Amino acid sequence: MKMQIASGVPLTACYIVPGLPHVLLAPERSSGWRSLRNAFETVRREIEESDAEMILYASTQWHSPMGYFILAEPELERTHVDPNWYEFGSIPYRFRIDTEFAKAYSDELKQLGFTVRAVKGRDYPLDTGSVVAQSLLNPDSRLPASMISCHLYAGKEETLSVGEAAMTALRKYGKRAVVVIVSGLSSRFETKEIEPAQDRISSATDDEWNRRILALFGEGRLEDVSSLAPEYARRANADLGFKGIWWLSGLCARTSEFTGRVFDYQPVWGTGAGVIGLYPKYR
Amino acid sequence: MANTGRIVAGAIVPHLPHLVYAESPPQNEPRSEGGWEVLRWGCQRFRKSVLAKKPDVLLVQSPYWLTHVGHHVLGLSRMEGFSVDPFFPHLFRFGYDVTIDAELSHLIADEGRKEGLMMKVMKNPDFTLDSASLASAYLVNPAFDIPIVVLSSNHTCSRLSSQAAQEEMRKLGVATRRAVEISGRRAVLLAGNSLSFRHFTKEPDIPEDMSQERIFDHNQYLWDMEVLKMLREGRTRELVDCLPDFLAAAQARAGAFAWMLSALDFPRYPAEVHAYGSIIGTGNAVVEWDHERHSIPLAAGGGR
Repeated sequence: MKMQIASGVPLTACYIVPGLPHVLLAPERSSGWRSLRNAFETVRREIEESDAEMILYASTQWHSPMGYFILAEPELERTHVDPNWYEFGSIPYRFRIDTEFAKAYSDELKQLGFTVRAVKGRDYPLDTGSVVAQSLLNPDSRLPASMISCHLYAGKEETLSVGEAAMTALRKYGKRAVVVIVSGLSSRFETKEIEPAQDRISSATDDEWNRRILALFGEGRLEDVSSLAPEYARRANADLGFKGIWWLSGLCARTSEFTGRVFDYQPVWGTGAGVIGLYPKYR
Repeated sequence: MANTGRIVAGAIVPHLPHLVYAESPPQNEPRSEGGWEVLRWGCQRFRKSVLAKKPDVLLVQSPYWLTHVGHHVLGLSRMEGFSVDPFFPHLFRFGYDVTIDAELSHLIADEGRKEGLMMKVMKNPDFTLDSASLASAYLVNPAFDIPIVVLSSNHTCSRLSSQAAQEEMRKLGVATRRAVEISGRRAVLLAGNSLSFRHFTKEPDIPEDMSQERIFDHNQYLWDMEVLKMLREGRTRELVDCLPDFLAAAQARAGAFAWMLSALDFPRYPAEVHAYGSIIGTGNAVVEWDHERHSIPLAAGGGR
Protein backbone atom coordinates (compact mmCIF):
# COMPACT_ATOMS: atom_id res chain seq x y z
CA MET A 1 0.00 0.00 0.00
CA LYS A 2 1.36 3.39 -0.92
CA MET A 3 1.59 5.58 2.13
CA GLN A 4 0.92 9.27 2.12
CA ILE A 5 1.87 12.05 4.42
CA ALA A 6 -1.36 13.00 6.11
CA SER A 7 -2.62 16.49 5.47
CA GLY A 8 -2.01 18.95 8.23
CA VAL A 9 1.54 17.74 8.55
CA PRO A 10 3.49 20.05 10.87
CA LEU A 11 6.44 20.37 8.50
CA THR A 12 7.32 23.40 6.42
CA ALA A 13 10.24 21.71 4.67
CA CYS A 14 13.11 19.28 5.16
CA TYR A 15 16.67 20.12 4.19
CA ILE A 16 19.78 18.02 3.89
CA VAL A 17 22.93 20.09 4.29
CA PRO A 18 26.65 19.35 4.71
CA GLY A 19 28.30 20.01 8.06
CA LEU A 20 31.95 20.71 7.34
CA PRO A 21 33.37 24.03 8.50
CA HIS A 22 34.86 25.11 5.16
CA VAL A 23 31.60 26.56 3.87
CA LEU A 24 31.15 28.69 6.97
CA LEU A 25 34.72 29.75 7.68
CA ALA A 26 36.54 29.77 4.36
CA PRO A 27 34.11 30.12 1.44
CA GLU A 28 36.47 32.48 -0.34
CA ARG A 29 39.10 29.76 -0.80
CA SER A 30 37.15 27.64 -3.25
CA SER A 31 34.47 28.38 -5.82
CA GLY A 32 32.70 25.19 -4.71
CA TRP A 33 32.66 26.23 -1.05
CA ARG A 34 31.42 29.68 -2.07
CA SER A 35 28.69 28.11 -4.16
CA LEU A 36 27.57 25.98 -1.21
CA ARG A 37 27.57 29.05 0.98
CA ASN A 38 25.23 30.75 -1.48
CA ALA A 39 22.97 27.70 -1.40
CA PHE A 40 22.87 27.83 2.40
CA GLU A 41 21.94 31.50 2.08
CA THR A 42 18.99 30.63 -0.16
CA VAL A 43 17.81 28.00 2.30
CA ARG A 44 18.19 30.41 5.20
CA ARG A 45 15.91 32.87 3.38
CA GLU A 46 13.37 30.14 2.68
CA ILE A 47 13.29 29.23 6.35
CA GLU A 48 12.91 32.86 7.35
CA GLU A 49 10.01 33.30 4.96
CA SER A 50 8.32 30.08 6.05
CA ASP A 51 5.87 29.74 8.92
CA ALA A 52 8.16 27.37 10.80
CA GLU A 53 8.02 27.80 14.56
CA MET A 54 10.97 25.59 15.43
CA ILE A 55 13.95 23.93 13.78
CA LEU A 56 14.68 20.25 14.34
CA TYR A 57 18.23 19.05 13.69
CA ALA A 58 19.71 15.58 13.34
CA SER A 59 23.43 15.59 12.65
CA THR A 60 25.46 12.58 11.54
CA GLN A 61 28.41 14.11 13.38
CA TRP A 62 26.71 13.93 16.75
CA HIS A 63 27.29 10.33 17.77
CA SER A 64 25.95 8.53 20.79
CA PRO A 65 26.94 4.96 21.61
CA MET A 66 24.48 4.57 24.50
CA GLY A 67 21.04 5.16 23.02
CA TYR A 68 19.97 8.66 22.02
CA PHE A 69 20.87 12.12 23.25
CA ILE A 70 18.45 15.01 23.03
CA LEU A 71 19.59 18.49 23.94
CA ALA A 72 17.65 19.78 26.91
CA GLU A 73 19.66 22.82 28.03
CA PRO A 74 17.53 25.96 27.46
CA GLU A 75 20.37 27.94 25.96
CA LEU A 76 23.81 27.02 24.70
CA GLU A 77 26.33 29.71 23.94
CA ARG A 78 29.91 28.68 23.32
CA THR A 79 32.76 28.79 20.89
CA HIS A 80 33.42 25.68 18.85
CA VAL A 81 36.67 24.69 17.17
CA ASP A 82 36.70 21.94 14.58
CA PRO A 83 39.10 19.15 15.59
CA ASN A 84 40.63 18.98 12.12
CA TRP A 85 40.29 22.39 10.47
CA TYR A 86 40.95 24.58 13.52
CA GLU A 87 43.17 26.87 11.46
CA PHE A 88 40.08 28.20 9.67
CA GLY A 89 39.05 29.83 12.93
CA SER A 90 36.67 29.47 15.85
CA ILE A 91 32.87 29.36 15.59
CA PRO A 92 30.94 31.26 18.25
CA TYR A 93 27.38 29.96 18.35
CA ARG A 94 24.14 30.23 20.21
CA PHE A 95 21.27 27.76 20.40
CA ARG A 96 17.93 28.49 22.01
CA ILE A 97 16.58 25.03 22.77
CA ASP A 98 12.90 24.15 22.76
CA THR A 99 13.07 22.17 25.97
CA GLU A 100 9.34 21.38 25.92
CA PHE A 101 9.69 19.63 22.61
CA ALA A 102 12.85 17.93 23.84
CA LYS A 103 10.80 16.44 26.64
CA ALA A 104 7.93 15.50 24.34
CA TYR A 105 10.26 13.73 21.93
CA SER A 106 12.15 12.01 24.75
CA ASP A 107 8.86 10.75 26.19
CA GLU A 108 7.82 9.31 22.83
CA LEU A 109 11.13 7.50 22.48
CA LYS A 110 11.02 6.16 26.02
CA GLN A 111 7.52 4.84 25.42
CA LEU A 112 8.94 2.86 22.52
CA GLY A 113 11.59 1.43 24.81
CA PHE A 114 14.59 3.43 23.61
CA THR A 115 17.33 4.66 25.89
CA VAL A 116 17.31 8.45 25.89
CA ARG A 117 19.43 10.94 27.78
CA ALA A 118 18.42 14.58 28.09
CA VAL A 119 21.73 16.39 27.70
CA LYS A 120 22.06 19.33 30.02
CA GLY A 121 24.93 21.66 30.79
CA ARG A 122 25.99 24.76 28.91
CA ASP A 123 29.43 23.32 28.20
CA TYR A 124 28.31 20.24 26.31
CA PRO A 125 30.55 19.96 23.22
CA LEU A 126 28.31 20.14 20.18
CA ASP A 127 29.52 18.69 16.91
CA THR A 128 30.84 20.80 14.05
CA GLY A 129 27.92 19.87 11.79
CA SER A 130 25.20 21.15 14.11
CA VAL A 131 27.12 24.34 14.77
CA VAL A 132 27.78 25.01 11.09
CA ALA A 133 24.15 24.42 10.17
CA GLN A 134 22.85 26.64 12.96
CA SER A 135 25.33 29.40 12.08
CA LEU A 136 24.24 29.43 8.45
CA LEU A 137 20.53 28.66 8.70
CA ASN A 138 19.38 30.10 12.01
CA PRO A 139 22.19 32.50 12.88
CA ASP A 140 20.41 34.62 15.44
CA SER A 141 18.71 31.60 16.99
CA ARG A 142 15.41 33.17 15.89
CA LEU A 143 13.80 29.74 15.86
CA PRO A 144 14.07 27.57 18.95
CA ALA A 145 15.89 24.37 18.10
CA SER A 146 15.78 20.74 19.02
CA MET A 147 18.53 18.22 18.31
CA ILE A 148 18.86 14.47 18.43
CA SER A 149 22.06 12.45 18.16
CA CYS A 150 22.81 9.54 15.84
CA HIS A 151 22.92 6.29 17.76
CA LEU A 152 25.99 4.58 16.36
CA TYR A 153 24.63 1.07 16.56
CA ALA A 154 21.07 1.63 15.40
CA GLY A 155 20.01 -0.16 12.23
CA LYS A 156 17.45 0.85 9.66
CA GLU A 157 14.25 -0.21 11.40
CA GLU A 158 15.26 1.38 14.68
CA THR A 159 16.29 4.62 13.00
CA LEU A 160 13.01 4.74 11.07
CA SER A 161 11.12 4.28 14.34
CA VAL A 162 13.07 7.08 15.99
CA GLY A 163 12.16 9.32 13.05
CA GLU A 164 8.50 8.31 13.30
CA ALA A 165 8.55 9.19 16.98
CA ALA A 166 9.74 12.68 16.05
CA MET A 167 6.65 13.15 13.88
CA THR A 168 4.37 11.82 16.62
CA ALA A 169 5.94 14.25 19.06
CA LEU A 170 5.60 17.13 16.60
CA ARG A 171 1.91 16.40 16.01
CA LYS A 172 1.22 16.26 19.72
CA TYR A 173 3.28 19.38 20.33
CA GLY A 174 1.38 21.28 17.67
CA LYS A 175 4.17 23.47 16.33
CA ARG A 176 5.31 23.64 12.72
CA ALA A 177 8.92 22.60 12.24
CA VAL A 178 11.57 22.88 9.62
CA VAL A 179 13.71 19.74 9.68
CA VAL A 180 17.44 19.82 8.94
CA ILE A 181 19.54 16.71 8.45
CA VAL A 182 23.21 17.58 8.70
CA SER A 183 24.85 14.95 6.53
CA GLY A 184 27.42 14.78 3.81
CA LEU A 185 27.03 12.59 0.73
CA SER A 186 30.14 10.52 -0.05
CA SER A 187 32.63 10.94 2.75
CA ARG A 188 35.97 9.89 1.31
CA PHE A 189 38.22 12.72 2.42
CA GLU A 190 41.38 13.71 0.60
CA THR A 191 44.01 12.45 3.02
CA LYS A 192 46.63 15.11 2.27
CA GLU A 193 46.65 18.88 2.19
CA ILE A 194 45.00 20.13 -0.97
CA GLU A 195 44.74 23.44 -2.73
CA PRO A 196 41.12 24.41 -1.96
CA ALA A 197 40.66 25.85 -5.44
CA GLN A 198 41.48 22.38 -6.81
CA ASP A 199 39.03 20.55 -4.53
CA ARG A 200 37.20 17.72 -6.31
CA ILE A 201 35.20 14.62 -5.40
CA SER A 202 37.94 12.17 -4.45
CA SER A 203 36.52 9.20 -6.34
CA ALA A 204 34.73 9.04 -9.69
CA THR A 205 32.54 6.23 -8.37
CA ASP A 206 31.53 8.34 -5.38
CA ASP A 207 30.68 11.20 -7.73
CA GLU A 208 28.57 8.95 -9.92
CA TRP A 209 26.67 7.62 -6.91
CA ASN A 210 26.21 11.08 -5.43
CA ARG A 211 24.65 12.26 -8.67
CA ARG A 212 22.35 9.24 -8.80
CA ILE A 213 21.15 9.98 -5.27
CA LEU A 214 20.76 13.67 -6.00
CA ALA A 215 18.63 12.88 -9.05
CA LEU A 216 16.24 10.96 -6.78
CA PHE A 217 16.19 13.79 -4.26
CA GLY A 218 15.47 16.21 -7.09
CA GLU A 219 12.32 14.20 -7.83
CA GLY A 220 11.38 14.18 -4.16
CA ARG A 221 11.88 10.39 -3.93
CA LEU A 222 12.99 10.22 -0.31
CA GLU A 223 11.74 6.67 0.21
CA ASP A 224 13.76 5.46 -2.76
CA VAL A 225 16.87 7.12 -1.37
CA SER A 226 16.16 5.48 1.97
CA SER A 227 15.95 2.07 0.30
CA LEU A 228 19.14 2.66 -1.63
CA ALA A 229 21.07 3.98 1.38
CA PRO A 230 22.86 0.72 2.27
CA GLU A 231 24.12 0.21 -1.27
CA TYR A 232 25.00 3.89 -1.61
CA ALA A 233 26.88 3.72 1.67
CA ARG A 234 28.81 0.68 0.53
CA ARG A 235 29.66 1.99 -2.91
CA ALA A 236 30.35 5.62 -2.07
CA ASN A 237 31.29 5.54 1.59
CA ALA A 238 28.27 7.70 2.39
CA ASP A 239 28.37 9.75 5.56
CA LEU A 240 27.67 7.45 8.53
CA GLY A 241 26.03 4.93 6.23
CA PHE A 242 23.59 7.69 5.18
CA LYS A 243 21.48 6.66 8.14
CA GLY A 244 20.36 10.23 8.72
CA ILE A 245 18.09 9.66 5.73
CA TRP A 246 16.38 6.76 7.51
CA TRP A 247 15.54 9.04 10.39
CA LEU A 248 14.08 11.57 7.94
CA SER A 249 12.21 8.85 6.09
CA GLY A 250 10.66 7.65 9.35
CA LEU A 251 9.69 11.18 10.24
CA CYS A 252 8.06 11.58 6.83
CA ALA A 253 5.98 8.38 7.08
CA ARG A 254 8.31 6.48 4.73
CA THR A 255 6.87 8.21 1.69
CA SER A 256 8.08 10.07 -1.36
CA GLU A 257 5.32 12.65 -1.24
CA PHE A 258 7.64 15.57 -1.80
CA THR A 259 8.68 18.13 -4.27
CA GLY A 260 12.46 18.03 -4.33
CA ARG A 261 15.07 20.61 -5.10
CA VAL A 262 18.84 20.22 -5.28
CA PHE A 263 20.25 23.64 -4.56
CA ASP A 264 23.88 22.68 -5.02
CA TYR A 265 26.38 19.85 -5.17
CA GLN A 266 30.08 20.47 -4.63
CA PRO A 267 33.21 18.83 -3.24
CA VAL A 268 34.49 19.67 0.22
CA TRP A 269 37.95 18.20 0.78
CA GLY A 270 37.12 15.32 -1.52
CA THR A 271 33.75 14.51 0.03
CA GLY A 272 30.41 15.12 -1.64
CA ALA A 273 28.36 17.98 -0.22
CA GLY A 274 24.80 18.65 -1.33
CA VAL A 275 22.25 21.23 -0.25
CA ILE A 276 18.85 19.64 -0.82
CA GLY A 277 15.29 20.66 -0.07
CA LEU A 278 12.23 18.42 0.25
CA TYR A 279 8.80 20.05 0.45
CA PRO A 280 5.78 17.99 1.56
CA LYS A 281 3.01 17.88 -1.05
CA TYR A 282 0.36 17.58 1.64
CA ARG A 283 0.35 20.35 4.20
CA MET B 1 69.44 20.08 21.00
CA ALA B 2 71.16 17.35 22.96
CA ASN B 3 69.90 14.32 21.00
CA THR B 4 70.09 12.38 24.26
CA GLY B 5 66.38 12.02 24.95
CA ARG B 6 64.82 8.66 25.54
CA ILE B 7 61.50 6.97 26.08
CA VAL B 8 61.69 5.75 29.66
CA ALA B 9 58.35 3.93 29.73
CA GLY B 10 55.28 3.15 27.71
CA ALA B 11 51.86 2.09 28.87
CA ILE B 12 48.38 1.15 27.83
CA VAL B 13 46.06 3.24 29.97
CA PRO B 14 42.25 3.38 29.90
CA HIS B 15 40.76 6.43 28.22
CA LEU B 16 37.09 6.18 29.19
CA PRO B 17 36.00 8.82 31.71
CA HIS B 18 34.63 6.37 34.27
CA LEU B 19 37.87 5.97 36.19
CA VAL B 20 38.22 9.73 36.64
CA TYR B 21 34.59 9.95 37.70
CA ALA B 22 35.16 7.13 40.18
CA GLU B 23 37.93 9.08 41.90
CA SER B 24 35.85 12.27 42.24
CA PRO B 25 38.84 14.60 41.92
CA PRO B 26 38.22 18.29 42.57
CA GLN B 27 38.61 19.10 38.86
CA ASN B 28 35.64 16.92 37.95
CA GLU B 29 32.13 18.17 38.75
CA PRO B 30 30.22 14.87 39.04
CA ARG B 31 30.69 12.97 42.31
CA SER B 32 30.73 9.21 42.62
CA GLU B 33 30.75 6.53 45.28
CA GLY B 34 33.72 4.77 43.71
CA GLY B 35 33.79 1.91 41.26
CA TRP B 36 36.30 0.15 38.97
CA GLU B 37 38.74 -0.18 41.89
CA VAL B 38 40.93 -2.87 40.36
CA LEU B 39 41.69 -0.72 37.33
CA ARG B 40 42.22 2.34 39.49
CA TRP B 41 44.58 0.50 41.83
CA GLY B 42 46.47 -0.65 38.73
CA CYS B 43 46.75 2.95 37.60
CA GLN B 44 48.07 3.90 41.03
CA ARG B 45 50.75 1.21 40.87
CA PHE B 46 51.78 2.33 37.40
CA ARG B 47 51.75 5.95 38.52
CA LYS B 48 54.11 5.19 41.39
CA SER B 49 56.45 3.31 39.10
CA VAL B 50 56.53 5.84 36.31
CA LEU B 51 56.67 9.05 38.32
CA ALA B 52 59.71 7.66 40.13
CA LYS B 53 61.50 7.91 36.80
CA LYS B 54 61.08 11.70 36.87
CA PRO B 55 59.82 12.02 33.31
CA ASP B 56 59.96 15.40 31.58
CA VAL B 57 56.88 14.81 29.46
CA LEU B 58 53.89 12.47 29.01
CA LEU B 59 52.80 11.75 25.45
CA VAL B 60 49.18 10.73 25.00
CA GLN B 61 47.60 9.33 21.88
CA SER B 62 43.93 10.15 22.20
CA PRO B 63 41.17 8.08 20.59
CA TYR B 64 38.71 10.96 20.98
CA TRP B 65 40.63 13.62 19.05
CA LEU B 66 39.56 12.32 15.66
CA THR B 67 41.10 13.96 12.64
CA HIS B 68 40.13 13.30 9.03
CA VAL B 69 43.31 14.51 7.44
CA GLY B 70 46.65 13.49 8.88
CA HIS B 71 48.07 13.28 12.38
CA HIS B 72 47.83 16.32 14.62
CA VAL B 73 49.65 17.49 17.74
CA LEU B 74 48.93 20.33 20.14
CA GLY B 75 51.11 23.36 19.50
CA LEU B 76 50.08 25.71 22.32
CA SER B 77 52.31 25.88 25.37
CA ARG B 78 49.46 26.09 27.87
CA MET B 79 45.80 25.10 27.68
CA GLU B 80 43.15 25.98 30.16
CA GLY B 81 39.47 25.18 29.96
CA PHE B 82 36.59 22.90 30.74
CA SER B 83 36.10 19.60 28.98
CA VAL B 84 32.88 17.60 28.87
CA ASP B 85 32.85 14.03 27.62
CA PRO B 86 30.58 13.90 24.55
CA PHE B 87 29.36 10.36 25.31
CA PHE B 88 29.25 10.46 29.11
CA PRO B 89 28.53 14.12 29.93
CA HIS B 90 27.12 13.10 33.30
CA LEU B 91 30.47 11.53 34.30
CA PHE B 92 33.13 13.88 33.02
CA ARG B 93 32.92 17.66 33.35
CA PHE B 94 36.51 18.48 33.98
CA GLY B 95 38.33 21.76 34.52
CA TYR B 96 41.93 21.71 33.31
CA ASP B 97 45.03 23.84 33.21
CA VAL B 98 47.85 21.95 31.54
CA THR B 99 51.27 22.71 30.17
CA ILE B 100 51.97 21.40 26.70
CA ASP B 101 55.47 20.56 25.51
CA ALA B 102 54.93 22.45 22.28
CA GLU B 103 58.57 22.16 21.30
CA LEU B 104 58.34 18.38 21.32
CA SER B 105 55.01 18.57 19.46
CA HIS B 106 56.74 20.48 16.67
CA LEU B 107 59.59 18.00 16.59
CA ILE B 108 57.15 15.10 16.24
CA ALA B 109 55.44 16.93 13.39
CA ASP B 110 58.79 17.54 11.69
CA GLU B 111 59.91 13.94 12.08
CA GLY B 112 56.51 12.65 10.97
CA ARG B 113 56.79 14.64 7.76
CA LYS B 114 60.18 13.05 7.15
CA GLU B 115 58.38 9.69 7.33
CA GLY B 116 55.99 10.91 4.66
CA LEU B 117 53.10 11.47 7.07
CA MET B 118 50.66 14.34 6.85
CA MET B 119 51.22 16.26 10.12
CA LYS B 120 49.54 19.36 11.52
CA VAL B 121 50.14 21.43 14.64
CA MET B 122 47.06 22.81 16.42
CA LYS B 123 47.46 26.40 17.61
CA ASN B 124 43.90 27.67 17.94
CA PRO B 125 43.60 29.04 21.52
CA ASP B 126 39.85 28.25 21.63
CA PHE B 127 40.46 24.53 21.14
CA THR B 128 39.08 22.33 23.92
CA LEU B 129 41.12 19.36 25.09
CA ASP B 130 39.25 16.09 24.63
CA SER B 131 38.13 14.05 27.62
CA ALA B 132 40.07 10.91 26.65
CA SER B 133 43.49 12.55 26.63
CA LEU B 134 42.68 14.30 29.91
CA ALA B 135 41.45 11.05 31.46
CA SER B 136 44.57 9.10 30.48
CA ALA B 137 46.87 11.91 31.59
CA TYR B 138 44.99 12.32 34.86
CA LEU B 139 45.22 8.63 35.71
CA VAL B 140 48.99 8.76 35.41
CA ASN B 141 49.64 12.18 36.84
CA PRO B 142 46.64 13.74 38.60
CA ALA B 143 48.69 16.78 39.60
CA PHE B 144 49.19 17.69 35.93
CA ASP B 145 52.60 19.09 36.89
CA ILE B 146 54.41 17.37 34.02
CA PRO B 147 53.96 18.79 30.50
CA ILE B 148 52.00 16.67 28.05
CA VAL B 149 51.93 16.16 24.32
CA VAL B 150 48.69 14.99 22.73
CA LEU B 151 48.53 13.26 19.37
CA SER B 152 45.27 12.88 17.47
CA SER B 153 43.79 9.69 16.04
CA ASN B 154 43.75 9.84 12.31
CA HIS B 155 40.24 8.72 11.45
CA THR B 156 41.22 7.98 7.87
CA CYS B 157 43.55 5.26 9.15
CA SER B 158 40.52 3.32 10.28
CA ARG B 159 39.30 3.24 6.68
CA LEU B 160 42.56 1.88 5.34
CA SER B 161 43.23 -1.82 5.33
CA SER B 162 44.34 -2.94 8.75
CA GLN B 163 47.88 -3.53 7.48
CA ALA B 164 48.08 -0.07 5.88
CA ALA B 165 46.75 1.56 9.04
CA GLN B 166 49.30 -0.28 11.19
CA GLU B 167 52.06 0.82 8.85
CA GLU B 168 50.95 4.43 9.17
CA MET B 169 51.00 4.16 12.96
CA ARG B 170 54.37 2.41 12.86
CA LYS B 171 55.80 5.41 11.02
CA LEU B 172 54.28 7.75 13.58
CA GLY B 173 55.91 5.70 16.33
CA VAL B 174 59.30 5.91 14.64
CA ALA B 175 58.88 9.66 14.22
CA THR B 176 57.88 10.02 17.87
CA ARG B 177 60.91 8.09 19.07
CA ARG B 178 63.27 10.16 16.94
CA ALA B 179 61.66 13.41 18.10
CA VAL B 180 62.03 12.39 21.75
CA GLU B 181 65.70 11.55 21.19
CA ILE B 182 66.36 14.90 19.51
CA SER B 183 64.48 16.77 22.26
CA GLY B 184 66.65 15.45 25.08
CA ARG B 185 63.47 14.69 27.07
CA ARG B 186 62.74 11.71 29.31
CA ALA B 187 59.38 10.73 27.89
CA VAL B 188 56.55 8.40 28.87
CA LEU B 189 54.17 7.21 26.17
CA LEU B 190 50.52 6.61 27.02
CA ALA B 191 48.33 4.73 24.60
CA GLY B 192 44.79 5.69 25.55
CA ASN B 193 43.40 2.42 24.37
CA SER B 194 40.88 -0.14 25.53
CA LEU B 195 41.40 -3.77 24.56
CA SER B 196 38.14 -5.39 23.39
CA PHE B 197 35.58 -2.69 22.69
CA ARG B 198 32.11 -4.20 22.48
CA HIS B 199 30.11 -2.43 25.13
CA PHE B 200 26.67 -2.32 26.65
CA THR B 201 24.33 0.33 25.30
CA LYS B 202 22.49 0.83 28.55
CA GLU B 203 24.01 2.17 31.73
CA PRO B 204 22.89 1.19 35.20
CA ASP B 205 21.03 3.91 37.07
CA ILE B 206 24.07 4.27 39.30
CA PRO B 207 27.02 4.31 36.86
CA GLU B 208 29.41 2.97 39.50
CA ASP B 209 27.13 0.07 40.45
CA MET B 210 29.72 -2.68 40.19
CA SER B 211 27.12 -5.42 40.44
CA GLN B 212 26.30 -4.48 36.81
CA GLU B 213 29.86 -4.36 35.51
CA ARG B 214 31.30 -7.29 33.59
CA ILE B 215 33.04 -8.00 30.31
CA PHE B 216 30.62 -7.89 27.38
CA ASP B 217 31.06 -11.54 26.43
CA HIS B 218 33.33 -14.51 26.85
CA ASN B 219 34.82 -14.17 23.38
CA GLN B 220 36.06 -10.67 24.24
CA TYR B 221 37.49 -11.96 27.48
CA LEU B 222 39.39 -14.71 25.69
CA TRP B 223 40.81 -12.26 23.17
CA ASP B 224 41.85 -9.85 25.92
CA MET B 225 43.60 -12.64 27.79
CA GLU B 226 45.39 -13.76 24.64
CA VAL B 227 46.62 -10.22 24.00
CA LEU B 228 47.78 -9.77 27.59
CA LYS B 229 49.54 -13.15 27.47
CA MET B 230 51.50 -12.07 24.41
CA LEU B 231 52.43 -8.79 26.05
CA ARG B 232 53.56 -10.54 29.23
CA GLU B 233 55.74 -12.83 27.13
CA GLY B 234 57.26 -9.99 25.11
CA ARG B 235 55.69 -11.18 21.85
CA THR B 236 54.84 -7.71 20.55
CA ARG B 237 55.78 -8.34 16.91
CA GLU B 238 53.58 -11.40 16.89
CA LEU B 239 50.80 -9.38 18.45
CA VAL B 240 51.01 -6.74 15.75
CA ASP B 241 50.64 -9.52 13.18
CA CYS B 242 47.52 -10.71 15.03
CA LEU B 243 46.01 -7.26 15.45
CA PRO B 244 43.73 -7.43 12.38
CA ASP B 245 42.08 -10.55 13.81
CA PHE B 246 41.83 -8.99 17.26
CA LEU B 247 40.33 -5.80 15.86
CA ALA B 248 37.73 -7.71 13.89
CA ALA B 249 36.81 -10.19 16.61
CA ALA B 250 36.67 -7.83 19.55
CA GLN B 251 35.71 -4.54 17.85
CA ALA B 252 38.98 -3.25 19.24
CA ARG B 253 40.67 0.03 18.30
CA ALA B 254 44.41 -0.32 18.30
CA GLY B 255 45.87 2.78 16.65
CA ALA B 256 47.47 4.05 19.83
CA PHE B 257 48.69 0.58 20.63
CA ALA B 258 50.56 0.22 17.33
CA TRP B 259 51.99 3.73 17.69
CA MET B 260 53.37 2.99 21.14
CA LEU B 261 54.80 -0.42 20.34
CA SER B 262 56.53 1.03 17.30
CA ALA B 263 57.94 3.93 19.32
CA LEU B 264 59.27 1.36 21.82
CA ASP B 265 60.71 -0.58 18.88
CA PHE B 266 58.51 -3.61 19.59
CA PRO B 267 59.88 -4.66 22.97
CA ARG B 268 60.76 -8.32 23.47
CA TYR B 269 60.86 -8.09 27.24
CA PRO B 270 57.77 -8.92 29.35
CA ALA B 271 55.31 -6.13 29.97
CA GLU B 272 53.97 -5.64 33.48
CA VAL B 273 50.18 -6.01 33.61
CA HIS B 274 49.09 -3.92 36.57
CA ALA B 275 45.36 -4.52 36.15
CA TYR B 276 42.61 -5.81 33.92
CA GLY B 277 38.92 -5.02 34.18
CA SER B 278 35.85 -3.98 32.26
CA ILE B 279 34.28 -0.56 31.76
CA ILE B 280 30.67 -0.74 30.48
CA GLY B 281 31.62 -4.11 29.07
CA THR B 282 34.82 -3.12 27.25
CA GLY B 283 38.11 -4.77 28.17
CA ASN B 284 40.65 -2.45 29.76
CA ALA B 285 44.11 -2.95 31.14
CA VAL B 286 46.96 -1.02 32.67
CA VAL B 287 50.11 -2.38 31.07
CA GLU B 288 53.60 -0.99 31.58
CA TRP B 289 56.79 -1.32 29.62
CA ASP B 290 59.65 -0.23 31.86
CA HIS B 291 61.75 0.73 28.90
CA GLU B 292 64.51 2.39 30.81
CA ARG B 293 65.25 -0.68 32.90
CA HIS B 294 65.13 -3.01 29.93
CA SER B 295 67.21 -0.81 27.69
CA ILE B 296 70.36 -1.64 29.66
CA PRO B 297 72.75 -3.45 27.28
CA LEU B 298 72.53 -7.25 27.30
CA ALA B 299 76.03 -7.58 28.75
CA ALA B 300 74.80 -5.76 31.84
CA GLY B 301 71.93 -8.15 32.32
CA GLY B 302 69.15 -6.38 30.40
CA GLY B 303 68.28 -6.26 26.75
CA ARG B 304 65.20 -5.73 24.65
